Amino acid sequence: MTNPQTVIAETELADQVVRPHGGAQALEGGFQTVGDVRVADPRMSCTGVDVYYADKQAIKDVSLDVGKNQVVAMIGPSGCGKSTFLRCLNRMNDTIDACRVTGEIKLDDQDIYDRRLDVVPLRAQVGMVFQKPNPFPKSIYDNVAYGPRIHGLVASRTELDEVVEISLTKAGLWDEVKDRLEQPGTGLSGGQQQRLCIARTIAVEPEVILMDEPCSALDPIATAKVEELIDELRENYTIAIVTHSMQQAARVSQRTAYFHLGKLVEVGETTQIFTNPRHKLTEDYITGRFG
Amino acid sequence: MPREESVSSTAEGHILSRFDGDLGYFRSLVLEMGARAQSQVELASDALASCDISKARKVIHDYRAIRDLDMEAQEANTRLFAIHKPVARDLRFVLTLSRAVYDLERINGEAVRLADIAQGLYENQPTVRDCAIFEDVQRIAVPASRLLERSMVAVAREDLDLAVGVALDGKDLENLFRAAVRRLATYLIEDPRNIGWVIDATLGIKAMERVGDHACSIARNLIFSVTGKDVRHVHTASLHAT
Repeated sequence: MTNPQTVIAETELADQVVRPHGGAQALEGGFQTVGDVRVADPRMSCTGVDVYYADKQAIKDVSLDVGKNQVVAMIGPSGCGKSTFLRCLNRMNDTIDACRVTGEIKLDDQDIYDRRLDVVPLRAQVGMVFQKPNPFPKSIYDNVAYGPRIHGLVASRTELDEVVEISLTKAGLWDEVKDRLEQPGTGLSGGQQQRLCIARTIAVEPEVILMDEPCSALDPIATAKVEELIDELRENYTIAIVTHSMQQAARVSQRTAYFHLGKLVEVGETTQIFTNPRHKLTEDYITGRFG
Repeated sequence: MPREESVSSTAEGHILSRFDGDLGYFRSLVLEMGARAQSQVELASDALASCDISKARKVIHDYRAIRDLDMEAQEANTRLFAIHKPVARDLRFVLTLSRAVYDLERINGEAVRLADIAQGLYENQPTVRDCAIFEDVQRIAVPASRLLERSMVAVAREDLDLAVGVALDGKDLENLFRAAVRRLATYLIEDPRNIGWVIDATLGIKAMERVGDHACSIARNLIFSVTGKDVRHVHTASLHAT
């Protein structure tokens, strides 16, 4: 009989089974991310990013593109560095004294770690939504109007009204709050508060939205609304999301990146990652075998 | 890295042991269906070869047992998707088992088709007992049953090499089928009064050839499960290429 190994090679099966074995030791030495870290049309491009908290290295030589009008999901076990990496994308780690970031992160062609760069407009360009909804203790209207006001994006009250309405509409919240804009944002339900935070983020017309477990504090209905919103927002924005929910990553993203012990183990089309991951660590994690 | 080292089994435990339990249950139902389907094929073929109408009736009667297993397996399959939402190799393996359920149900149907032929023959035409026309059915049923057995072992062990072997050996069964058709044609040339028996024999060998096809389908789906590569429509000739 024909040798099955030959058959596999002949039918191009061989390229499907690149699955380095082992656990952490598989990441040592000349480890390279499995999959193509680059995309044809990147909005953000990261190369050789290392992050240290004092002496401890949290991110190790990560390169990854975030494509225009794409949702990239970052998954991995707790402590793997996915949130740390996300926070590098708008220099949120600058607020931590002991944190040091090296490597290159570009927004379009601009190095965001250029010393001359002002981080305030950067954080408007690269907005962020956090795990727990954090509306300001102000009215619903003022929550959304705050950003455009401080960044000087509007010239009149009428213009500001328009921005507030458009932002709340894009966030899928307008119909629910249009008659109570003067009420406090903190009085909304958890899901509404999170969508208010998203409206607040998009009010300053960002190019990229970072989301750090945006649905972990929400019930399934509110989660579904936010996920639907993410899909709609993709038409106009580039989104990077950190999530612990495999199903959420599968539902909302076009590309998925798997992090482990500070390294980017594998990145690929979301469908490929969830049907045929190429690295055993990725497979063991997403199938619930990670021990 | 040698491929066999890189391929792992779905039998490696999940953190959620209930997933292992549900997957194991589904797998055991499929394997039981496979064993019963193989018995059905062998018994139907034996009924025809030994002119034993009681065996043919047993095959027709036992059809329900596999149909019930089919229903149970479909339920287990639905539960796996609804509760555990399998992904990656788990997803591929569950899909493979699910497709195997379909193939095994069809194999059961082919066995009943052959048993129907035997029952019809021996109830109405006792003189057929000495007829050599039906020898080819047995000639194809034996390797078809063997292919089925090997494909089920491949599923049980998630054995890629064995699955590839089954997919390749399916070609031999096709050749046997073509040879049998040519041989049956000679009976028609010899004596046109053989036409009724030749039609029955042709339907019989076709049913057994289909059993082999379904066995190969199970094997090809297992190749998908282990490697992630869909080879359902890869021609056997290209598998042979060296």
